[in-house]
Amino acid sequence: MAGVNLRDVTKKYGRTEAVKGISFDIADGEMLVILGPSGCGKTSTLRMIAGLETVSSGTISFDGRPVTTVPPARRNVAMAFENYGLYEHWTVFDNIAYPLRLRGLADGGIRRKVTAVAEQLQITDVLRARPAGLSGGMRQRIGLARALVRDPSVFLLDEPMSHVDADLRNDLRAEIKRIHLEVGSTMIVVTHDQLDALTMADRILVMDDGRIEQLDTPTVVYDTPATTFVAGFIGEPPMNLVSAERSDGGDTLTLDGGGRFGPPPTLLDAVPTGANVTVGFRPHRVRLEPAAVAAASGDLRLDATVYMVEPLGDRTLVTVRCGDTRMKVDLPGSPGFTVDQPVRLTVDQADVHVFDPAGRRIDPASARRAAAA
Amino acid sequence: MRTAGWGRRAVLFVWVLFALFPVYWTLITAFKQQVDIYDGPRFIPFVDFEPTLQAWRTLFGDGGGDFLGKFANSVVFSGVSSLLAVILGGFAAYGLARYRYKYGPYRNDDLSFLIVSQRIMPPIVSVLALYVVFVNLRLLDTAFGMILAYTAMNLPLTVYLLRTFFEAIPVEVEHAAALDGYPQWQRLLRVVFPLAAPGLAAAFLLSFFFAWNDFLFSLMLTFNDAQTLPLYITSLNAQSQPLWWLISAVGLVALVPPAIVTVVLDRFMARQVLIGGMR
Repeated sequence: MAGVNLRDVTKKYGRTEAVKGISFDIADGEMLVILGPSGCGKTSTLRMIAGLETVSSGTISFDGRPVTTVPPARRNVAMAFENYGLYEHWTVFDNIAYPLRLRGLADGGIRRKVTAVAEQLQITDVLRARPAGLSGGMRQRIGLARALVRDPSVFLLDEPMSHVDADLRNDLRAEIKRIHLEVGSTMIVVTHDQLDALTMADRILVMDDGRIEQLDTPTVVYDTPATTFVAGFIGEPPMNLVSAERSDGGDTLTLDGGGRFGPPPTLLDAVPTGANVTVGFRPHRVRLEPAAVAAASGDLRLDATVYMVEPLGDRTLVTVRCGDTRMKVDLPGSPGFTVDQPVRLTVDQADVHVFDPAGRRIDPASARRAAAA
Repeated sequence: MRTAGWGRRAVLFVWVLFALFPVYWTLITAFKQQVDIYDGPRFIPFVDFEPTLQAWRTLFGDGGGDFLGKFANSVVFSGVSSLLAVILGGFAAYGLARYRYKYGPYRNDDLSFLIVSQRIMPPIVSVLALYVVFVNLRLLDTAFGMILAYTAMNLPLTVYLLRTFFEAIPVEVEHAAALDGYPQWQRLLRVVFPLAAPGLAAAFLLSFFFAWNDFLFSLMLTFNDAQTLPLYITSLNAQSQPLWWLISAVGLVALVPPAIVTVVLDRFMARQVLIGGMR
């Protein structure tokens, strides 16, 4: 087991910079999920930790011991791959046993370990089969088993669920989390699925364009996204983002399309006049009323028309249009809105997030601190 | 075949007759005497004509010239050159599939094309140049020279074929092998090559056939010691009249090695291409 530390790690492919000088620490035994869209540098980061990619600059260390130039075989890391990376010409048993054979373990010991790990992952029945004929979920389990059997100090999973059916995905998530609890080794999972990240991670590292957007616990990342990117990436449907402007000397923000938001004074102080900020709110934090009966409550008010109504059984997803912006509203039950109906959206102050022109969160707390200084 | 209809069976039966008749004809001709060959068609042994071992005695006796020597030449040249073409071509193809090269304006695809383009030219164009080279290097009519020529002839083919095969093997398999602790070398020999076995077998088979059937190179680059079977067969034709019984016998023998190679390698190719981790 080991903690992992990255310092100013950069990865260049020719002239393009895939990873732009990132630093972070993973505690021993932690489950970290690296989340981001394709091409954000998350897989490059994982491969550099594995040693499969060279590091262009910066250092990687395990437990303070630098491993930047150590070949993958001597880092004692194990990895499960997006498309499994199984040895298709061998049986499942041989696939799992091989890393142990290479380490010179006795046959009896190998059989015991393989059987144990196969039982844990429920693949005992297919040990004699070849991977080729098996389902995606099964193959991913074999990949996990092969990685697990070695007791690696760091366990890396590259998009482990991307080729697995939706219902199997849920099972596999729970299973991976369970394995992490039982094995207790440091685990790094790369995914583009925000639900994977929210459900499995001790901490989530959100990446975009080779940079770290935010690194925190799922709750913090969800409740207080550090940037507009994080806000728009996490949550299903993601946060509504509307550009807004603080009118001259006024104490409200004017939203694109005519809405208004009266922020708390501490936050207002941090918003420069005339600057183009972004206001965000989660779809399920919105109250939606027909415009005719709308009360004047709520700190954010916005008039819009219904664009589309999508019933989801116990919830209803309403898309509204306000000027050129479309927003999602997630309502319980079936509230009976109709297309093109004029509506009013209201949101409480506490549920509204404000981001500065660069897309960084303006925090009432930090704004207060800035004001005090 | 239980479900096949009668019509389909009939068609297949006719086709089989059509395909096998030349082989049958060669077979019976190899056991005929001169008179049975020229005196109208004779189809059924023991009924139409009395089979004789005359051709075979000539071939394996004193009258066959150096039949066994030529046969050995063909087997050795084809086998060794195909093996070389597959091994060298395999490494080249692996490089083209896995690494990115940059030689001036040339990238992988350009290099690939450059290699394949060697095969676009009809061999008759290059064989004259090759002849001059062979004369100067004293390679004419040598086993080494012929193996070299056949290897060069087959390399473009094997590189082209194997590149696709290696590209189809997910790079993750190699990454997994690296993490498991394989040295690079073993990764290639124990993981990549076995996964590409169907491709390697197919490449060997095609190379073998090309070399085995080659006439032109043998005609231009050999005259005695390093002569191969196709040339020997032609020499049987060069007398006052074709010695059909001998030609047929040699033809039958010449069928054997490719058949053996096919049967042996078919097992690898039939092992349904296991590549492609994706499902």
